[in-house]
Amino acid sequence: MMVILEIKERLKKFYGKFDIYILAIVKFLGAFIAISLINANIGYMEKLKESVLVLLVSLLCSILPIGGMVFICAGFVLAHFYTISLELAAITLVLFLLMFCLYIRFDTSDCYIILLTPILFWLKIPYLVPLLVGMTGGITSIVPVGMGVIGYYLLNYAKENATVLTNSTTEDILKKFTLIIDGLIQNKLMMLTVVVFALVTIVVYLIKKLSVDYSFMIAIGVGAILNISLLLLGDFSLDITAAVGEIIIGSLVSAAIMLALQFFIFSVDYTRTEHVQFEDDDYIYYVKAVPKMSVTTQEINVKKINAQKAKKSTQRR
Amino acid sequence: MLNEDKVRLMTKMAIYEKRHGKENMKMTEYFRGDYVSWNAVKTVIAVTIAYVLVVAAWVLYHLEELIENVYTMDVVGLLKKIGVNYIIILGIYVVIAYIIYNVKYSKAMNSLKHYRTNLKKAKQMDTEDVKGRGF
Repeated sequence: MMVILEIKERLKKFYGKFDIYILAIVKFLGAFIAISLINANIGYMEKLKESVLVLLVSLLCSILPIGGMVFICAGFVLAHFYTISLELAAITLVLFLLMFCLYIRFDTSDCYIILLTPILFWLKIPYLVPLLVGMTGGITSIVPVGMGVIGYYLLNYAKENATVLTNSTTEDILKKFTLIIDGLIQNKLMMLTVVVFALVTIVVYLIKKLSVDYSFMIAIGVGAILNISLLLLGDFSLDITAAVGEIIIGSLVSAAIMLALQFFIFSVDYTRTEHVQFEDDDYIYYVKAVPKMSVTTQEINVKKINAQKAKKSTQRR
Repeated sequence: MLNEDKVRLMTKMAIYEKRHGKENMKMTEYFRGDYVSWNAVKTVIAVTIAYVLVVAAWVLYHLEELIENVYTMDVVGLLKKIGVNYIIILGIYVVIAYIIYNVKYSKAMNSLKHYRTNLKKAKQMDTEDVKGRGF
């Protein structure tokens, strides 16, 4: 246990020292993975798939706030959709506008969840979403989770029906429009996932808030079990062909990843190191404020108990 | 000589300014009522845009059905339904906006109060410094 705690402290120290670079690298990698996955799954506009462009845009994202990254990814999705079907692009634009008007403008801090959800679906660990959001967000975060799930199923629909959408003639615009909306609202699996993710997020959040020892472990465990049981129950009652093994293994793997993330990243107060500049009458100050460390690394202290005993026994003689 | 306490205090204030200060100080330009109602107006505009988009999508989705039944259907009733739904949704959102922006304003004012107290302390330290030097 001590070794893990030391690793944690070292991570904290490392983060405190190089926070500017680490944050930029994480953002760059996040943007690169997100854009590459979008291109790999729905990359219908060849120009956007060029690796130089992807690298340059990811670099730009590393200096932009998270909202900027979400905005750029939304632009990529719209451009790809526009290539296969104008109607699909229009419906997606309407969905994005609805997300903005009804939620994002109130709380921009959560909008990364909308992008993260499809990414985790593509990485085959979707069940990490409700655990992650429940542990790090609030009750209202269920809204971006729902939006993210709907976004993923829309992307998935486009991927599966690209040929149908591309080959239809321009005369049946209305039919195409109805087809796309039907594909979304008649998707029982999407509806089930939205409801289950919302419920699991709320339960994880509520348990995490309890003032009980190991509440975060209990929250993650209960969240994973609830996720499995609700999804299986929903699949059977709605008559959806479910991959039972995928749900069980996926949930357990997600719980394990969440435990590791919780221990190494979210439980540590990585209060950002701040660089500030101010002045008074005499000086100009360039201050780097580094958060204090709470646990120091282990000091090796050897106690020779046996030697003392031996000493005592010789004294007795 | 550097006054360490003053540097600490000024650093804390500078961090606050950097993180939340600019946004919060903007709020002080408004009275609470003005701030909340201005944001409520923005919410009304956003909800109206969203509602128009949803209704447009609904009409397009049911267009064939609507064209077929245009002479037999109760158009006034339908419009009434759309209007009532709009008012209900708008009402819910305005109440939510009212609560959110009121809480935001109160939080900003509380943190600014703390910031101003620190500002006074720093000023006091400054005058003590000057006196200590015998000016």
